[in-house]
Amino acid sequence: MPITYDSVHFVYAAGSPFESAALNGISLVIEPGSFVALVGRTGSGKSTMAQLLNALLVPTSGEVVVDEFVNSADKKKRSRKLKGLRKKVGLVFQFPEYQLFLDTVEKDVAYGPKNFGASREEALEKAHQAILEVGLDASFFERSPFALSGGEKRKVAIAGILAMEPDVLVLDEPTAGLDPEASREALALFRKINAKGTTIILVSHDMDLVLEAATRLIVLENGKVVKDGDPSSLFEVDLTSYALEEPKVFRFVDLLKKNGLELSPSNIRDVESLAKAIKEAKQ
Amino acid sequence: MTSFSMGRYIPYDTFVHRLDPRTKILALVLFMIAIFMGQATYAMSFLVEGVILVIAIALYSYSRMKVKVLLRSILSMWFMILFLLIVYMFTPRDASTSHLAFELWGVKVYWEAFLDTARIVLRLILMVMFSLVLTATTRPLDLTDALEWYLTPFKLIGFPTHIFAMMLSLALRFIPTIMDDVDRIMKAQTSRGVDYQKGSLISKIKAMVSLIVPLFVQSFVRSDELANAMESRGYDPNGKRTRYRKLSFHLSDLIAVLLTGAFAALVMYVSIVGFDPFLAWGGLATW
Repeated sequence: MPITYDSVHFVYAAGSPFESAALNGISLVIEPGSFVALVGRTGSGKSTMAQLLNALLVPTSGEVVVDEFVNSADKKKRSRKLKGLRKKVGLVFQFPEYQLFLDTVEKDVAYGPKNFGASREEALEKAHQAILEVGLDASFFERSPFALSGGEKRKVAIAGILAMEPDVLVLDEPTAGLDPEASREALALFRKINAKGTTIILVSHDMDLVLEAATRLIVLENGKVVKDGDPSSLFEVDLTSYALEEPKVFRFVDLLKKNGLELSPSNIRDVESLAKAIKEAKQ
Repeated sequence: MTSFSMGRYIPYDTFVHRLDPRTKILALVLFMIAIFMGQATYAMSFLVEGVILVIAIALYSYSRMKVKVLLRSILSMWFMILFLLIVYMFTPRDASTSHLAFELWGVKVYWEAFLDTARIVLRLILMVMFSLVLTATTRPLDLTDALEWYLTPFKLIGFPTHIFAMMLSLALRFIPTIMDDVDRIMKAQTSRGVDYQKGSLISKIKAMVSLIVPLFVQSFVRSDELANAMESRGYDPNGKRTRYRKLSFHLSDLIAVLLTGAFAALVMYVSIVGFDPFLAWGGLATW
Protein backbone atom coordinates (compact mmCIF):
# COMPACT_ATOMS: atom_id res chain seq x y z
CA MET A 1 0.00 0.00 0.00
CA PRO A 2 1.32 3.43 -0.85
CA ILE A 3 1.53 6.40 1.50
CA THR A 4 -0.97 9.10 0.60
CA TYR A 5 -1.06 12.76 1.58
CA ASP A 6 -4.46 14.20 0.72
CA SER A 7 -4.57 18.04 0.70
CA VAL A 8 -2.79 18.23 4.03
CA HIS A 9 -2.58 21.54 5.84
CA PHE A 10 -0.76 22.03 9.10
CA VAL A 11 -0.68 25.10 11.33
CA TYR A 12 1.46 25.35 14.49
CA ALA A 13 -0.10 27.01 17.57
CA ALA A 14 -3.28 27.90 15.71
CA GLY A 15 -5.17 30.85 17.14
CA SER A 16 -2.27 32.30 19.11
CA PRO A 17 0.21 35.08 18.32
CA PHE A 18 2.77 32.33 17.57
CA GLU A 19 0.61 30.85 14.81
CA SER A 20 2.53 29.72 11.76
CA ALA A 21 1.45 27.64 8.81
CA ALA A 22 3.87 24.83 8.02
CA LEU A 23 2.03 22.95 5.28
CA ASN A 24 -0.34 24.52 2.77
CA GLY A 25 -2.08 21.75 0.92
CA ILE A 26 0.20 18.79 0.26
CA SER A 27 -1.18 16.04 -1.94
CA LEU A 28 1.06 13.25 -3.10
CA VAL A 29 1.48 9.51 -3.19
CA ILE A 30 4.65 7.68 -2.21
CA GLU A 31 5.04 4.21 -3.71
CA PRO A 32 6.27 1.39 -1.49
CA GLY A 33 9.92 0.54 -1.92
CA SER A 34 10.86 3.94 -3.27
CA PHE A 35 13.67 6.15 -2.00
CA VAL A 36 12.19 9.61 -1.73
CA ALA A 37 14.15 12.72 -0.82
CA LEU A 38 12.38 15.71 0.73
CA VAL A 39 14.37 18.89 0.30
CA GLY A 40 13.76 22.57 0.87
CA ARG A 41 14.96 25.42 2.99
CA THR A 42 14.65 25.54 6.78
CA GLY A 43 11.00 26.04 7.68
CA SER A 44 9.65 24.79 4.37
CA GLY A 45 7.71 22.03 6.15
CA LYS A 46 9.89 18.95 5.63
CA SER A 47 10.03 17.84 9.25
CA THR A 48 6.32 18.51 9.71
CA MET A 49 5.59 16.25 6.76
CA ALA A 50 7.76 13.55 8.30
CA GLN A 51 6.09 13.78 11.71
CA LEU A 52 2.61 13.57 10.21
CA LEU A 53 3.53 10.14 8.87
CA ASN A 54 3.93 8.87 12.40
CA ALA A 55 0.85 10.65 13.79
CA LEU A 56 3.10 12.61 16.14
CA LEU A 57 1.31 15.58 14.64
CA VAL A 58 -2.29 15.62 13.47
CA PRO A 59 -3.11 17.60 10.32
CA THR A 60 -5.10 20.81 10.68
CA SER A 61 -7.05 19.67 7.62
CA GLY A 62 -6.73 16.82 5.15
CA GLU A 63 -5.35 13.38 5.90
CA VAL A 64 -2.30 11.16 5.69
CA VAL A 65 -2.91 7.48 5.01
CA VAL A 66 -0.35 4.72 5.58
CA ASP A 67 -1.83 1.31 4.84
CA GLU A 68 -4.85 0.85 7.10
CA PHE A 69 -3.83 3.77 9.33
CA VAL A 70 -5.46 7.13 8.81
CA ASN A 71 -4.10 10.31 10.36
CA SER A 72 -6.89 12.74 9.62
CA ALA A 73 -8.03 16.16 10.80
CA ASP A 74 -11.44 14.51 11.08
CA LYS A 75 -11.63 12.80 14.46
CA LYS A 76 -14.08 10.17 13.26
CA LYS A 77 -11.80 9.00 10.48
CA ARG A 78 -8.61 9.03 12.55
CA SER A 79 -7.25 5.62 13.54
CA ARG A 80 -7.37 4.87 17.25
CA LYS A 81 -4.52 2.43 17.70
CA LEU A 82 -1.39 4.24 16.63
CA LYS A 83 1.13 1.80 18.00
CA GLY A 84 0.86 -0.30 14.85
CA LEU A 85 1.49 2.78 12.73
CA ARG A 86 4.57 3.63 14.77
CA LYS A 87 5.93 0.15 14.29
CA LYS A 88 5.32 0.40 10.56
CA VAL A 89 6.87 3.84 10.18
CA GLY A 90 10.25 4.21 11.85
CA LEU A 91 11.18 7.84 12.38
CA VAL A 92 14.80 8.87 12.89
CA PHE A 93 14.84 12.43 14.17
CA GLN A 94 17.47 15.05 13.58
CA PHE A 95 20.33 14.48 16.04
CA PRO A 96 18.76 11.23 17.24
CA GLU A 97 21.49 10.66 19.82
CA TYR A 98 19.41 12.47 22.47
CA GLN A 99 16.95 9.57 22.55
CA LEU A 100 19.54 7.22 24.09
CA PHE A 101 18.94 6.59 27.78
CA LEU A 102 19.71 3.02 28.82
CA ASP A 103 22.99 1.81 30.27
CA THR A 104 24.10 -0.45 27.44
CA VAL A 105 23.92 -0.10 23.68
CA GLU A 106 22.12 -3.42 23.18
CA LYS A 107 19.44 -2.59 25.76
CA ASP A 108 18.84 0.78 24.19
CA VAL A 109 18.52 -0.64 20.71
CA ALA A 110 16.25 -3.41 22.00
CA TYR A 111 13.98 -0.85 23.67
CA GLY A 112 11.91 -0.18 20.55
CA PRO A 113 11.21 -3.83 19.63
CA LYS A 114 10.35 -4.56 23.28
CA ASN A 115 7.81 -1.73 23.31
CA PHE A 116 6.21 -3.26 20.26
CA GLY A 117 5.75 -6.57 22.00
CA ALA A 118 8.89 -8.59 21.27
CA SER A 119 10.15 -10.84 24.07
CA ARG A 120 13.45 -10.04 25.78
CA GLU A 121 15.42 -12.58 23.76
CA GLU A 122 13.77 -11.63 20.49
CA ALA A 123 14.39 -7.95 21.11
CA LEU A 124 18.05 -8.54 21.97
CA GLU A 125 18.43 -10.69 18.88
CA LYS A 126 16.97 -7.93 16.71
CA ALA A 127 19.13 -5.37 18.50
CA HIS A 128 22.33 -7.32 17.80
CA GLN A 129 21.41 -7.62 14.13
CA ALA A 130 20.65 -3.92 13.85
CA ILE A 131 23.87 -2.90 15.60
CA LEU A 132 25.90 -5.03 13.22
CA GLU A 133 23.91 -3.71 10.28
CA VAL A 134 24.79 -0.07 10.98
CA GLY A 135 28.46 -0.99 10.94
CA LEU A 136 29.31 -1.36 14.61
CA ASP A 137 30.82 -4.61 15.89
CA ALA A 138 29.84 -6.95 18.71
CA SER A 139 32.19 -5.19 21.14
CA PHE A 140 29.67 -2.34 21.31
CA PHE A 141 26.82 -4.48 22.70
CA GLU A 142 27.75 -4.06 26.32
CA ARG A 143 29.15 -0.54 26.18
CA SER A 144 27.42 2.52 27.55
CA PRO A 145 25.87 4.65 24.81
CA PHE A 146 26.99 7.78 26.64
CA ALA A 147 30.66 6.88 26.32
CA LEU A 148 30.58 6.68 22.50
CA SER A 149 31.69 9.26 19.97
CA GLY A 150 29.12 11.43 18.20
CA GLY A 151 29.13 9.34 15.03
CA GLU A 152 28.82 6.09 16.97
CA LYS A 153 25.93 7.46 19.02
CA ARG A 154 24.18 8.38 15.79
CA LYS A 155 24.64 4.84 14.51
CA VAL A 156 23.26 3.37 17.73
CA ALA A 157 20.24 5.66 17.54
CA ILE A 158 19.58 4.63 13.93
CA ALA A 159 20.02 0.99 14.92
CA GLY A 160 17.36 1.60 17.59
CA ILE A 161 14.88 2.39 14.83
CA LEU A 162 16.07 -0.33 12.44
CA ALA A 163 15.60 -2.96 15.14
CA MET A 164 11.87 -2.20 15.02
CA GLU A 165 11.93 -3.49 11.44
CA PRO A 166 9.78 -0.70 10.00
CA ASP A 167 8.25 -0.88 6.52
CA VAL A 168 8.88 2.81 6.05
CA LEU A 169 12.00 4.50 7.34
CA VAL A 170 11.83 8.27 7.68
CA LEU A 171 15.17 9.98 8.21
CA ASP A 172 15.28 13.64 9.23
CA GLU A 173 18.70 15.06 8.32
CA PRO A 174 20.47 11.84 9.27
CA THR A 175 23.87 13.08 8.16
CA ALA A 176 23.80 16.49 9.89
CA GLY A 177 27.02 16.98 11.80
CA LEU A 178 28.72 13.85 10.44
CA ASP A 179 32.00 13.97 8.54
CA PRO A 180 31.87 13.23 4.78
CA GLU A 181 33.04 9.65 5.21
CA ALA A 182 30.47 8.88 7.88
CA SER A 183 27.82 10.49 5.67
CA ARG A 184 28.78 8.18 2.77
CA GLU A 185 28.66 5.16 5.07
CA ALA A 186 25.24 6.21 6.31
CA LEU A 187 24.00 6.64 2.78
CA ALA A 188 25.31 3.22 1.77
CA LEU A 189 23.41 1.79 4.73
CA PHE A 190 20.17 3.50 3.70
CA ARG A 191 20.53 2.20 0.16
CA LYS A 192 21.10 -1.29 1.46
CA ILE A 193 17.95 -1.06 3.59
CA ASN A 194 16.03 0.32 0.63
CA ALA A 195 17.22 -2.56 -1.55
CA LYS A 196 15.54 -4.96 0.90
CA GLY A 197 12.21 -3.32 0.13
CA THR A 198 11.91 -0.73 2.88
CA THR A 199 10.51 2.59 1.71
CA ILE A 200 12.88 5.39 2.60
CA ILE A 201 11.95 9.02 3.03
CA LEU A 202 15.04 11.14 3.46
CA VAL A 203 14.84 14.74 4.62
CA SER A 204 18.09 16.42 3.76
CA HIS A 205 19.98 19.53 2.72
CA ASP A 206 22.85 17.63 1.22
CA MET A 207 22.03 17.63 -2.48
CA ASP A 208 25.03 15.45 -3.33
CA LEU A 209 23.70 12.66 -1.16
CA VAL A 210 20.18 13.15 -2.43
CA LEU A 211 21.18 13.01 -6.07
CA GLU A 212 23.24 9.91 -5.44
CA ALA A 213 20.60 7.87 -3.67
CA ALA A 214 17.06 9.08 -4.21
CA THR A 215 14.77 7.72 -6.91
CA ARG A 216 12.41 10.63 -6.48
CA LEU A 217 12.98 14.14 -5.28
CA ILE A 218 10.36 16.45 -3.79
CA VAL A 219 11.19 20.11 -3.29
CA LEU A 220 9.14 21.97 -0.70
CA GLU A 221 8.77 25.71 -0.44
CA ASN A 222 6.46 27.51 2.00
CA GLY A 223 4.61 24.30 2.78
CA LYS A 224 3.88 23.47 -0.85
CA VAL A 225 5.38 20.98 -3.29
CA VAL A 226 7.14 23.05 -5.94
CA LYS A 227 9.07 20.31 -7.76
CA ASP A 228 8.50 16.60 -7.83
CA GLY A 229 10.38 14.21 -10.04
CA ASP A 230 13.47 12.29 -10.96
CA PRO A 231 16.54 13.76 -9.21
CA SER A 232 18.50 14.22 -12.42
CA SER A 233 15.68 16.33 -13.90
CA LEU A 234 16.70 18.92 -11.35
CA PHE A 235 19.66 19.81 -13.48
CA GLU A 236 17.39 22.28 -15.29
CA VAL A 237 16.03 23.78 -12.07
CA ASP A 238 17.64 26.73 -10.36
CA LEU A 239 18.06 25.14 -6.94
CA THR A 240 19.56 28.25 -5.40
CA SER A 241 16.14 29.92 -5.50
CA TYR A 242 15.05 27.30 -2.94
CA ALA A 243 18.14 27.95 -0.81
CA LEU A 244 19.58 24.62 -1.97
CA GLU A 245 23.03 23.98 -3.27
CA GLU A 246 23.50 22.55 -6.73
CA PRO A 247 25.07 19.08 -6.52
CA LYS A 248 28.82 19.15 -7.13
CA VAL A 249 28.62 16.82 -10.13
CA PHE A 250 26.05 19.09 -11.77
CA ARG A 251 28.32 22.08 -11.26
CA PHE A 252 31.08 20.09 -12.91
CA VAL A 253 28.82 19.29 -15.86
CA ASP A 254 28.04 23.02 -16.13
CA LEU A 255 31.71 23.88 -16.20
CA LEU A 256 32.39 21.23 -18.85
CA LYS A 257 29.58 22.67 -20.94
CA LYS A 258 31.10 26.14 -20.73
CA ASN A 259 34.36 24.69 -21.91
CA GLY A 260 32.80 22.90 -24.83
CA LEU A 261 31.89 19.42 -23.63
CA GLU A 262 28.15 18.78 -23.67
CA LEU A 263 26.94 15.94 -21.45
CA SER A 264 23.43 14.68 -20.87
CA PRO A 265 22.82 14.95 -17.10
CA SER A 266 20.10 12.31 -17.02
CA ASN A 267 22.37 9.46 -15.92
CA ILE A 268 24.79 11.42 -13.81
CA ARG A 269 24.38 10.71 -10.12
CA ASP A 270 27.83 10.66 -8.60
CA VAL A 271 31.51 10.96 -9.45
CA GLU A 272 31.63 7.50 -11.02
CA SER A 273 28.69 8.00 -13.34
CA LEU A 274 30.10 11.41 -14.25
CA ALA A 275 33.42 9.82 -15.19
CA LYS A 276 31.57 7.25 -17.26
CA ALA A 277 29.59 9.94 -19.06
CA ILE A 278 32.77 11.87 -19.86
CA LYS A 279 34.41 8.72 -21.16
CA GLU A 280 31.44 7.94 -23.39
CA ALA A 281 31.30 11.50 -24.71
CA LYS A 282 34.98 11.35 -25.61
CA GLN A 283 34.62 8.16 -27.62
CA MET B 1 2.97 18.87 24.43
CA THR B 2 1.07 22.06 23.92
CA SER B 3 2.96 25.12 22.86
CA PHE B 4 0.88 26.95 25.43
CA SER B 5 2.56 26.05 28.64
CA MET B 6 1.15 27.66 31.74
CA GLY B 7 1.98 31.31 32.21
CA ARG B 8 4.23 31.56 29.22
CA TYR B 9 4.86 35.10 28.01
CA ILE B 10 2.50 36.02 25.18
CA PRO B 11 3.54 39.14 23.28
CA TYR B 12 0.31 41.12 23.06
CA ASP B 13 0.39 44.86 23.46
CA THR B 14 -2.01 45.78 26.24
CA PHE B 15 -1.85 48.26 29.09
CA VAL B 16 -0.79 45.46 31.44
CA HIS B 17 1.98 44.38 29.05
CA ARG B 18 3.34 47.92 28.88
CA LEU B 19 3.56 48.41 32.64
CA ASP B 20 7.00 48.44 34.20
CA PRO B 21 7.83 44.94 35.50
CA ARG B 22 8.74 46.49 38.86
CA THR B 23 5.23 47.86 39.10
CA LYS B 24 3.78 44.47 38.30
CA ILE B 25 5.88 42.66 40.89
CA LEU B 26 4.99 45.21 43.57
CA ALA B 27 1.32 45.01 42.61
CA LEU B 28 1.46 41.20 42.81
CA VAL B 29 2.92 41.38 46.32
CA LEU B 30 0.28 43.92 47.38
CA PHE B 31 -2.53 41.76 46.01
CA MET B 32 -1.10 38.71 47.77
CA ILE B 33 -1.15 40.59 51.06
CA ALA B 34 -4.73 41.67 50.41
CA ILE B 35 -5.75 38.11 49.53
CA PHE B 36 -4.25 36.55 52.65
CA MET B 37 -5.43 39.16 55.15
CA GLY B 38 -7.77 37.44 57.61
CA GLN B 39 -11.19 39.03 57.96
CA ALA B 40 -13.51 39.14 60.92
CA THR B 41 -16.17 36.80 59.58
CA TYR B 42 -16.73 34.43 56.68
CA ALA B 43 -19.17 36.84 55.09
CA MET B 44 -16.63 39.65 55.16
CA SER B 45 -13.90 37.35 53.91
CA PHE B 46 -15.91 36.31 50.88
CA LEU B 47 -16.94 39.90 50.24
CA VAL B 48 -13.30 41.10 50.17
CA GLU B 49 -12.16 38.14 48.11
CA GLY B 50 -15.10 38.63 45.77
CA VAL B 51 -13.96 42.18 45.12
CA ILE B 52 -10.42 40.94 44.48
CA LEU B 53 -11.82 38.28 42.17
CA VAL B 54 -13.56 40.95 40.11
CA ILE B 55 -10.25 42.83 39.81
CA ALA B 56 -8.46 39.58 38.91
CA ILE B 57 -11.00 38.70 36.22
CA ALA B 58 -10.78 42.21 34.81
CA LEU B 59 -6.97 42.10 34.65
CA TYR B 60 -7.02 38.56 33.32
CA SER B 61 -9.35 39.27 30.44
CA TYR B 62 -7.80 42.69 29.82
CA SER B 63 -4.39 41.11 29.23
CA ARG B 64 -6.08 38.78 26.70
CA MET B 65 -5.41 35.53 28.53
CA LYS B 66 -7.24 32.34 27.70
CA VAL B 67 -9.80 30.99 30.17
CA LYS B 68 -8.67 27.49 29.24
CA VAL B 69 -5.25 28.06 30.80
CA LEU B 70 -6.83 29.09 34.09
CA LEU B 71 -9.30 26.20 34.12
CA ARG B 72 -6.50 23.75 33.48
CA SER B 73 -4.42 25.05 36.37
CA ILE B 74 -7.46 24.94 38.68
CA LEU B 75 -8.28 21.39 37.62
CA SER B 76 -4.71 20.35 38.35
CA MET B 77 -5.34 21.35 42.00
CA TRP B 78 -8.25 18.94 42.49
CA PHE B 79 -6.31 16.56 44.70
CA MET B 80 -5.16 19.34 46.99
CA ILE B 81 -8.73 20.64 47.25
CA LEU B 82 -9.99 17.20 48.24
CA PHE B 83 -7.20 16.81 50.77
CA LEU B 84 -7.94 20.21 52.30
CA LEU B 85 -11.63 19.38 52.56
CA ILE B 86 -10.90 16.14 54.39
CA VAL B 87 -8.51 17.84 56.80
CA TYR B 88 -11.03 20.60 57.52
CA MET B 89 -13.84 18.09 58.00
CA PHE B 90 -11.95 16.34 60.76
CA THR B 91 -10.69 19.50 62.41
CA PRO B 92 -12.33 19.76 65.84
CA ARG B 93 -14.42 22.91 66.20
CA ASP B 94 -16.13 24.75 69.01
CA ALA B 95 -19.67 23.35 68.83
CA SER B 96 -21.23 26.44 70.41
CA THR B 97 -20.14 28.82 67.62
CA SER B 98 -20.15 26.40 64.68
CA HIS B 99 -23.01 25.19 62.54
CA LEU B 100 -23.54 21.44 62.28
CA ALA B 101 -24.04 20.19 58.73
CA PHE B 102 -24.34 16.42 59.24
CA GLU B 103 -22.85 13.57 61.16
CA LEU B 104 -20.66 11.02 59.41
CA TRP B 105 -19.82 7.81 61.31
CA GLY B 106 -20.01 9.68 64.55
CA VAL B 107 -17.88 12.56 63.35
CA LYS B 108 -19.62 15.91 63.48
CA VAL B 109 -19.09 17.77 60.24
CA TYR B 110 -19.68 21.52 60.41
CA TRP B 111 -20.58 23.90 57.61
CA GLU B 112 -17.44 25.82 58.56
CA ALA B 113 -15.32 23.00 57.10
CA PHE B 114 -16.75 23.68 53.64
CA LEU B 115 -16.45 27.42 54.07
CA ASP B 116 -12.81 27.13 55.14
CA THR B 117 -12.04 24.96 52.12
CA ALA B 118 -13.88 27.29 49.78
CA ARG B 119 -11.96 30.24 51.18
CA ILE B 120 -8.57 28.58 50.72
CA VAL B 121 -9.46 27.42 47.21
CA LEU B 122 -10.65 30.89 46.28
CA ARG B 123 -7.41 32.36 47.60
CA LEU B 124 -5.37 29.85 45.62
CA ILE B 125 -7.31 30.63 42.44
CA LEU B 126 -6.76 34.35 42.98
CA MET B 127 -3.06 33.76 43.55
CA VAL B 128 -2.79 31.66 40.40
CA MET B 129 -4.66 34.29 38.38
CA PHE B 130 -2.44 37.17 39.47
CA SER B 131 0.74 35.15 38.94
CA LEU B 132 -0.45 34.04 35.50
CA VAL B 133 -1.14 37.66 34.55
CA LEU B 134 2.34 38.63 35.71
CA THR B 135 4.23 35.91 33.85
CA ALA B 136 2.09 36.05 30.72
CA THR B 137 2.46 39.79 30.28
CA THR B 138 6.11 40.20 31.25
CA ARG B 139 9.16 39.02 29.39
CA PRO B 140 11.17 36.70 31.67
CA LEU B 141 14.26 38.84 31.27
CA ASP B 142 12.33 41.95 32.29
CA LEU B 143 11.21 40.07 35.36
CA THR B 144 14.76 39.29 36.39
CA ASP B 145 15.82 42.87 35.76
CA ALA B 146 13.03 44.00 38.04
CA LEU B 147 13.98 41.45 40.71
CA GLU B 148 17.56 42.58 40.52
CA TRP B 149 16.39 46.16 41.01
CA TYR B 150 14.51 45.15 44.13
CA LEU B 151 17.61 43.40 45.42
CA THR B 152 19.91 46.42 45.02
CA PRO B 153 19.64 47.43 48.71
CA PHE B 154 21.19 44.08 49.61
CA LYS B 155 24.34 45.03 47.75
CA LEU B 156 25.23 47.12 50.80
CA ILE B 157 25.57 43.98 52.90
CA GLY B 158 27.61 42.28 50.18
CA PHE B 159 24.89 40.19 48.56
CA PRO B 160 25.99 39.38 44.97
CA THR B 161 22.83 40.65 43.29
CA HIS B 162 24.27 40.50 39.82
CA ILE B 163 25.28 36.84 40.10
CA PHE B 164 21.89 36.05 41.56
CA ALA B 165 20.12 37.86 38.73
CA MET B 166 22.31 36.16 36.13
CA MET B 167 21.48 32.73 37.57
CA LEU B 168 17.82 33.57 37.58
CA SER B 169 17.77 34.92 34.04
CA LEU B 170 19.69 31.89 32.77
CA ALA B 171 17.23 29.58 34.48
CA LEU B 172 14.29 31.45 32.98
CA ARG B 173 15.95 31.69 29.60
CA PHE B 174 16.32 27.92 29.45
CA ILE B 175 12.75 27.01 30.35
CA PRO B 176 11.49 27.25 26.74
CA THR B 177 14.63 25.50 25.49
CA ILE B 178 14.10 22.64 27.90
CA MET B 179 10.41 22.52 26.98
CA ASP B 180 11.47 22.12 23.36
CA ASP B 181 13.82 19.33 24.44
CA VAL B 182 10.97 17.63 26.28
CA ASP B 183 8.83 17.86 23.17
CA ARG B 184 11.57 16.50 20.94
CA ILE B 185 12.54 13.63 23.23
CA MET B 186 8.91 12.67 23.81
CA LYS B 187 8.32 12.57 20.08
CA ALA B 188 11.42 10.47 19.50
CA GLN B 189 10.49 8.01 22.25
CA THR B 190 6.86 7.91 21.14
CA SER B 191 7.97 6.78 17.73
CA ARG B 192 9.95 4.06 19.52
CA GLY B 193 6.67 2.83 20.94
CA VAL B 194 6.56 4.60 24.31
CA ASP B 195 3.09 5.64 25.42
CA TYR B 196 3.14 8.59 27.81
CA GLN B 197 -0.63 8.82 28.14
CA LYS B 198 -1.95 5.34 28.73
CA GLY B 199 -0.83 2.31 30.64
CA SER B 200 -0.35 1.23 34.23
CA LEU B 201 1.48 3.32 36.82
CA ILE B 202 4.63 1.22 36.43
CA SER B 203 4.70 1.53 32.65
CA LYS B 204 4.13 5.26 33.04
CA ILE B 205 7.08 5.54 35.40
CA LYS B 206 9.19 3.54 32.95
CA ALA B 207 8.07 5.87 30.18
CA MET B 208 9.11 8.87 32.27
CA VAL B 209 12.60 7.42 32.69
CA SER B 210 12.98 7.38 28.91
CA LEU B 211 12.24 11.11 28.98
CA ILE B 212 14.10 12.22 32.08
CA VAL B 213 17.46 10.54 31.46
CA PRO B 214 18.01 12.11 28.02
CA LEU B 215 16.67 15.41 29.34
CA PHE B 216 19.25 15.50 32.12
CA VAL B 217 22.04 14.46 29.76
CA GLN B 218 21.03 17.25 27.34
CA SER B 219 20.79 19.82 30.10
CA PHE B 220 24.19 19.00 31.57
CA VAL B 221 25.81 19.12 28.15
CA ARG B 222 24.11 22.41 27.43
CA SER B 223 25.05 24.06 30.70
CA ASP B 224 28.64 22.95 30.24
CA GLU B 225 28.69 24.46 26.77
CA LEU B 226 27.10 27.65 28.02
CA ALA B 227 29.66 28.01 30.80
CA ASN B 228 32.48 27.53 28.30
CA ALA B 229 30.95 30.01 25.88
CA MET B 230 30.58 32.61 28.62
CA GLU B 231 34.09 32.09 29.87
CA SER B 232 35.62 32.23 26.42
CA ARG B 233 33.97 35.60 25.96
CA GLY B 234 35.59 36.81 29.16
CA TYR B 235 32.62 36.71 31.50
CA ASP B 236 33.54 37.85 34.95
CA PRO B 237 30.78 37.35 37.52
CA ASN B 238 32.09 40.21 39.62
CA GLY B 239 32.66 42.63 36.76
CA LYS B 240 30.77 45.89 36.51
CA ARG B 241 28.46 45.95 33.55
CA THR B 242 26.10 48.24 31.76
CA ARG B 243 22.66 47.22 30.57
CA TYR B 244 21.15 46.84 27.17
CA ARG B 245 17.60 47.31 28.38
CA LYS B 246 16.59 50.01 30.82
CA LEU B 247 13.47 49.78 32.90
CA SER B 248 11.36 52.91 32.76
CA PHE B 249 8.77 54.01 35.26
CA HIS B 250 5.92 56.03 33.74
CA LEU B 251 2.98 57.96 35.10
CA SER B 252 0.74 54.94 34.40
CA ASP B 253 3.00 52.87 36.64
CA LEU B 254 2.69 55.41 39.42
CA ILE B 255 -1.09 55.35 39.12
CA ALA B 256 -1.15 51.53 39.11
CA VAL B 257 1.08 51.36 42.19
CA LEU B 258 -0.96 53.99 44.05
CA LEU B 259 -4.26 52.28 43.22
CA THR B 260 -3.14 48.81 44.27
CA GLY B 261 -1.39 50.27 47.31
CA ALA B 262 -4.55 52.08 48.36
CA PHE B 263 -6.63 48.97 47.82
CA ALA B 264 -4.25 46.79 49.85
CA ALA B 265 -4.15 49.39 52.61
CA LEU B 266 -7.95 49.45 52.73
CA VAL B 267 -8.14 45.67 52.99
CA MET B 268 -5.50 45.68 55.72
CA TYR B 269 -7.33 48.40 57.64
CA VAL B 270 -10.61 46.56 57.42
CA SER B 271 -8.90 43.39 58.59
CA ILE B 272 -7.10 44.98 61.53
CA VAL B 273 -10.11 46.84 62.95
CA GLY B 274 -12.31 43.81 62.26
CA PHE B 275 -14.84 45.93 60.38
CA ASP B 276 -17.88 44.02 59.19
CA PRO B 277 -20.98 45.55 57.69
CA PHE B 278 -22.86 42.27 58.08
CA LEU B 279 -22.68 42.33 61.86
CA ALA B 280 -25.47 44.85 61.83
CA TRP B 281 -27.49 42.55 59.64
CA GLY B 282 -28.91 39.85 61.93
CA GLY B 283 -28.89 36.82 59.65
CA LEU B 284 -25.18 36.71 58.95
CA ALA B 285 -24.03 37.95 62.30
CA THR B 286 -22.87 34.56 63.56
CA TRP B 287 -20.98 33.56 60.41
